[in-house]
Amino acid sequence: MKKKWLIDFPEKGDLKRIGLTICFTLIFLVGSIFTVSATDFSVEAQVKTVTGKVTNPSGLTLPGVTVVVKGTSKGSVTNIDGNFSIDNVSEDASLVFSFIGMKSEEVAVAGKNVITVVLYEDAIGLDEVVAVGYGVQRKSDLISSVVSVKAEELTKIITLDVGEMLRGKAAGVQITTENSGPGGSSKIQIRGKGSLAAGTSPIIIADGVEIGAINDINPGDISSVEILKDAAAQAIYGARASNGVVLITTKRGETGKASVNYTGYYGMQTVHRNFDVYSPEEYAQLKREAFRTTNKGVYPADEIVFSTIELESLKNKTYIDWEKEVLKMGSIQNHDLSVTSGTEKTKFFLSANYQNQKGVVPSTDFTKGMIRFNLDQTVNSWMKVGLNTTLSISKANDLGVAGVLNEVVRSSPLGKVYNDDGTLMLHPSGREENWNPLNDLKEVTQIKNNRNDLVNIFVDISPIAGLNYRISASRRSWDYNEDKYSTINSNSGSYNAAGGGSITTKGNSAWTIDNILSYSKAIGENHLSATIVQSLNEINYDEFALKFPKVPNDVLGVYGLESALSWEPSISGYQRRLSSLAGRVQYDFSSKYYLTLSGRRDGSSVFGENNKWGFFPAVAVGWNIYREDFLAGFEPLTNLKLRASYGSVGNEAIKPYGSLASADKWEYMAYGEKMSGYTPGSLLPNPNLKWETSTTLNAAIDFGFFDNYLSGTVELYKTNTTDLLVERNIDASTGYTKMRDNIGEIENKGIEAQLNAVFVRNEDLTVGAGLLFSANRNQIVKLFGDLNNDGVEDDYPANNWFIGQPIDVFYDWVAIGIWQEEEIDDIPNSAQPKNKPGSVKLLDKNGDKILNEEDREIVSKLPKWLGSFNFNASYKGVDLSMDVTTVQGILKYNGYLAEYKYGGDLRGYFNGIKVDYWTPENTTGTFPRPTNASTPKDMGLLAKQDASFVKLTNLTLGYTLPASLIARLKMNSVRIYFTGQNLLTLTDYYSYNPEQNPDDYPESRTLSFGVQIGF
Amino acid sequence: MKRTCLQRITITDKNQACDVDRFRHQTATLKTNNIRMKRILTLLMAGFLVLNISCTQWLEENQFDKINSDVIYTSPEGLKTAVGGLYSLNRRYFRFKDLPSTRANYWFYCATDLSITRTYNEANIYKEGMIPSGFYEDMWINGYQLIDRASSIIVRGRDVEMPEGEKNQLLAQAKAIRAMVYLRLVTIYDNILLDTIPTTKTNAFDPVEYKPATKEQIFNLIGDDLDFAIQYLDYNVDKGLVGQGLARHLRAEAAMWVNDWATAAANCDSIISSGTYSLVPIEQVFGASLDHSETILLWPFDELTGGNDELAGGSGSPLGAAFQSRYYEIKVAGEKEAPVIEDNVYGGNAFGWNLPNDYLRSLYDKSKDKRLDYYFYPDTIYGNNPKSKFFGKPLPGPLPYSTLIREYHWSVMKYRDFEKPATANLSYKDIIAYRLPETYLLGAEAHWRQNNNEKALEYLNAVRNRAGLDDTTTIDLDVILDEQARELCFEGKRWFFLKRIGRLVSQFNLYHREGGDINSLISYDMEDYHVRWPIPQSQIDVMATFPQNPGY
Repeated sequence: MKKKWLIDFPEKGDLKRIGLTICFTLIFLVGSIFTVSATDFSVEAQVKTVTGKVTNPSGLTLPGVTVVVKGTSKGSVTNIDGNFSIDNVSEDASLVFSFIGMKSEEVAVAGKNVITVVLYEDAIGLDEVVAVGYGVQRKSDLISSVVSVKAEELTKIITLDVGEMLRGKAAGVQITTENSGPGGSSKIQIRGKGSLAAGTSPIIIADGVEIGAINDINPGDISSVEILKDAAAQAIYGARASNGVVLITTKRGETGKASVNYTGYYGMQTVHRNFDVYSPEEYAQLKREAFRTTNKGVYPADEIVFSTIELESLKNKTYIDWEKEVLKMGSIQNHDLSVTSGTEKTKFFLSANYQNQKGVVPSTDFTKGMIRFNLDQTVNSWMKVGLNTTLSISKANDLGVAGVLNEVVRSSPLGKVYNDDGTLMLHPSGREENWNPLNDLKEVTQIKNNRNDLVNIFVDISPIAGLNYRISASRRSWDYNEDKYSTINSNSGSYNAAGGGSITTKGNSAWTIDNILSYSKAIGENHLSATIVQSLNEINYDEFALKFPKVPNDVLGVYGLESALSWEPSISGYQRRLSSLAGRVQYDFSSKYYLTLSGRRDGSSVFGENNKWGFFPAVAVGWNIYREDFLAGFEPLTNLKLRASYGSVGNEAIKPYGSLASADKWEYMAYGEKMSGYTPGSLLPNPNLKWETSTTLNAAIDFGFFDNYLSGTVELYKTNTTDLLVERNIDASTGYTKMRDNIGEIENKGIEAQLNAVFVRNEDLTVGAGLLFSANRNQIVKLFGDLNNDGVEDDYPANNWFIGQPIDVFYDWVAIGIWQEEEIDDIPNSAQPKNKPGSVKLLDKNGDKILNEEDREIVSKLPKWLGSFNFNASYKGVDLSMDVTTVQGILKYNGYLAEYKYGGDLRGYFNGIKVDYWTPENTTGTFPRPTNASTPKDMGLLAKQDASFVKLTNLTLGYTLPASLIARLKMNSVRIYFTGQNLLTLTDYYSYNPEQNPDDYPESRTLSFGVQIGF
Repeated sequence: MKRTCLQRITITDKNQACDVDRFRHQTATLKTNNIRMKRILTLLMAGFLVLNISCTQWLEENQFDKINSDVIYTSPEGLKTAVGGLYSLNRRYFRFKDLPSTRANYWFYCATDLSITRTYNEANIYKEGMIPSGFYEDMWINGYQLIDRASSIIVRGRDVEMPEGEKNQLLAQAKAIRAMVYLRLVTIYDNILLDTIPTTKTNAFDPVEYKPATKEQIFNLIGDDLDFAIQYLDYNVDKGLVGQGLARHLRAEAAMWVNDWATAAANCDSIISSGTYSLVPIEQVFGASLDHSETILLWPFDELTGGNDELAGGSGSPLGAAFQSRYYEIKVAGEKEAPVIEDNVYGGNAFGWNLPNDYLRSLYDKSKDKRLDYYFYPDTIYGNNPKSKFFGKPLPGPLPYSTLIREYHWSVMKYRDFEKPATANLSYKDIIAYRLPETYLLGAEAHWRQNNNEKALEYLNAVRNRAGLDDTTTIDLDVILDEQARELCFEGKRWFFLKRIGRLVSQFNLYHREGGDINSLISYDMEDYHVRWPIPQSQIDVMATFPQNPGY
């Protein structure tokens, strides 16, 4: 180990640690640059030992408060009793006390031996530390766009989905429900949709390690969530950051603080739908109308219109309310138990979590268990090791309820749920279109098992002051196992006259090695810090599925596959790799003027041979104006910061192998035998595939008044994404139809505002409120260029892409009503000469009597703005909080108003969402005349609905037991609370939830009760 | 405002802003040496270099779950699997599957003079729905995919080292399939691209001049491809494979599109006199096994090895269900029990989308033509529900049992499958793609066009006699037109036949009907331009200079 160039180190210990650092460096192929400063550290004058105590205004001692001798890096941390002790403090020194969420205090030693300090809560927490990529920063030093959401804000939301907890918590972050069923999740989109075909989901980083999904984390373990929105914040994640980064920091052990905490809640869930289906009588009438239309305007006899069972039902007035038959009350519960403890050397956080949700659709449920163990161990004065580990298993009964819920809406209310012998009637109305929604709930099982493990080990080595080297290695593995079985009595089984099932296993294992070298140094008022990261990442994925459509008997369920008459196996897998080198330099002068430069060079395996590498730089500047002397006299101002950033990030969220030529299996039969066959797929490989790059300009102002009792941020941004990864249609005569390619440009620009106010804050009463607003405008700037040489950039109508328009638009003709009887002579001379009274009338814009592209209209589907409002108040032990979120100006297509399969096409085969349809007697009807023949033409144009909403997402009332009582119970704290979730939604969109279709798992209203106990 | 913040220290986590132990040592002086630092620097820079070099290799992709497509065109084994793949794609291309993207073929069964369309496809038949952006583009796209894969075999296969005879047989099959697809494309669209160069990594991005090929160019290629196939293929092959019989049949059909009656007649004669094929008794034509002497090509299906298009057994076909009413929905007034339940005798579960019309019925001689009994379900239905009092008895009441077409109508029995579950509408029975009577009828027409009425009548009467009809002694286009309907109705041939002889628009407008109730059937006017489909808009978009067909 003794290298010649090391021998003149002054101390043996130093030599060892430098040597070790370099060993690690080389072992893991670190390419990093040591920039050890040559500054001498002179020993300060030693005068005395200072001790003391830190409390909050009400006298409670504060453990974990950092105490530092100003101008040095010498300091201590208060112990469990709030006491601290620092040796060798010079007489004229000052001590700085700081603690998260509290305003820092600076106290001159001035000869005192004992110092008692009271720390006050900081309304905005400028000294709060927030996580940024590969490090942390104080909020007051932050010049990039990072929104921090505290754990308490998240965990008061009654849901098992962490994504849903973020709803309305950060400006510019749109959360859209994807599945509100047990074990469901939401889509997180940051600052608009920036890609046409590549992924638009942010990457989720927990404790520095990318995880598979946000729900791999137990919400109870979260200490804070940070969302990185601009390029300056994201650039250090270069490759995958173009859709934003969500950083999750989990709880860790703290020195001198041992505690056991339990939190848990139990809630009941119900659904509320904001639409009507036809009543049984109305449905019968709809059916008669549909048949009447095809019977030359004359009502046929009921015997022709209705089945025998339907007739009986009509006669006896015995109807079915499918919603009541199918949807039941569900439940949700979540229990967290955590232990945290720490000595000077060893700190740990250990937690166990249990989640269970029984869905409002019977036979659907979800159970999850998670364990986390976070450990920090100080080995010696210059080395620390740590461990973050989480293990989770979950099991869901999720039989894919779309079909069931579709039947709840569309199944005929005429008929019988049960046969005379008590068994379920397969076709309750006697018509084969109508399936009994209860049948598959009973006859289909689909069990999904997930196992998710993450182990992350890191070693911190600090050879000299300000320099830290961390090597972090992590491995994540995910295993998924799905067993599905449908009995012979299930819908599909009755069709196939046999039961059948499938077994699917999927899994990936990913590992990452990060070498992080960071250095910080203060020279006078100049503060400089630098970070260099080298990282390797590999993901291996495998999937195997075995379908067995015909099983002779149902006795063994999936385990009967051995006796299945046939099997259909499929297997696939991939590997993707990423190699990165990133760096960041942060400089500020006197905490007034800030400059950050960062960049990352990434190589991704998924791109073409010559385009694997991309470089993503960013620069940010900031100015803490309020620290300027010329504002010193302006008392009300407590914070004023201007900041701006510019930089780029990449997107590699496409499937691997897009640049390779491969062949698919296409078999045939000949001479009674399988004939092997292979042929290239329809995707043309593109060897030139490269990074999609987003470049963002961000400008913001942060402000705070009256000790930050009023504070906020206004932010403007403009992101241009170029070389968009798309799967573009190519001329099919090549033999291929699509190709992954980089084309065009998209622009997202917007404004985000965040305003927080504390109206009252004293010992008994606190009242505060917050407002978030964000608006994003999205437009396509460029696509394929000018292919037809007419001097204008070409649109791409095949995908509804138009230059100057948003990515998601409707491109349709315009419905302007229903043709009336009195217009019967006008119809042949109109643009719709074959129409009849009662059909949808379209706008012929230019009156040329031809409906063509010129008569179409482009309308954006994207929301105009998002907002949220929260209010909180506490009086003595009672606390109240309320969250309201809104999305405005969003347009959605609701298939239930137009399509056959959703009962929306007024053909009388299905019940459906009630609309005012036209008949010769009801000429003011806004929907076309029902007809038994076929879906009325252009009905889809009537199915666009405004899906704006205002939602009371959360209302919580809590009570914290008084300290005196708790002390007697030998507890630290006890809080009980009631929460109402999704209590009220105002929307015009016909569904259970404006973000979802009526056949998606219905969003529930939850009423719950919870406790939080600390020992 | 006074600054109240910490000195810069290394922050390891946010809960604890500093680590005391670490900087307790920093009172010690660390003397550094510039030379030493430079050495460290150099070493690390070298480490970097190593890293970057190895990374380039580390990022190379190696797809392990699929075959590299270059392999299949460069080795004998690969070439065989490429031909297998071609057959599989071909089966998908020519058959109807109930998916929006694969409904195109079904359209040709419906949009003729012989049917009533109740639902499902009617919106697109010669109406406003027949627009470039909404119309079945798979017919174009999948066609060119087949053409490119066939061309890859034909061009790249030439260089594969293997016995010449074996190689030519593989190439001949690819050529026949390419001709088959080009014939389909040109007869649907009239204006198409001609491209015989396989797409490779190097030429994929070469500029292309997008303009329609002339009819002559296309039919020359089809003729050349088929002549090659005829030269190298045997008659005696599995019915699922392309043999000389199919190649000659296609050669005849293609020749007739360009009025080359002599070539057509010669090829039909060859097939008929080859000894390989013969007409089977009428009850066997669509019997349990279709692997009989009348079949020239069939699409093989098998449930146990199937389930998807790309599997050996292919995917189930709803053709039978589509042309069959749901007799099990027939109600008898006053009766609680349905007299008929789903049963394969009556086709099992059905759709009743498109049914034979009265015009077709009028073409048959009710007293003699046995095809009425074997190509169609009987009019009189017998109860088969044991709980019904009409079990085993004819249903009561005058015909029709219901005016609703989906419940009761004269239905096509050509695709009846006794092996499928009665509750299923998808069938895995083989489907005949080409059979000898069509050859006879093509031959009859080809000879008649050349004024060889004797031979023409011989061929025509062969088909008639098998159906139990007497010889006819006169022949003209109308006679052929009617016989074609009687023999080949609902086999996907009629649309192309009518278009070729120029009678599509007039016949359609006269006889095609639409509606759900026989009392309220309506007709639609087909316009002249409807005889060719619109070029898919998605293709026009990417082939900027290629013209849309007139009228669209």
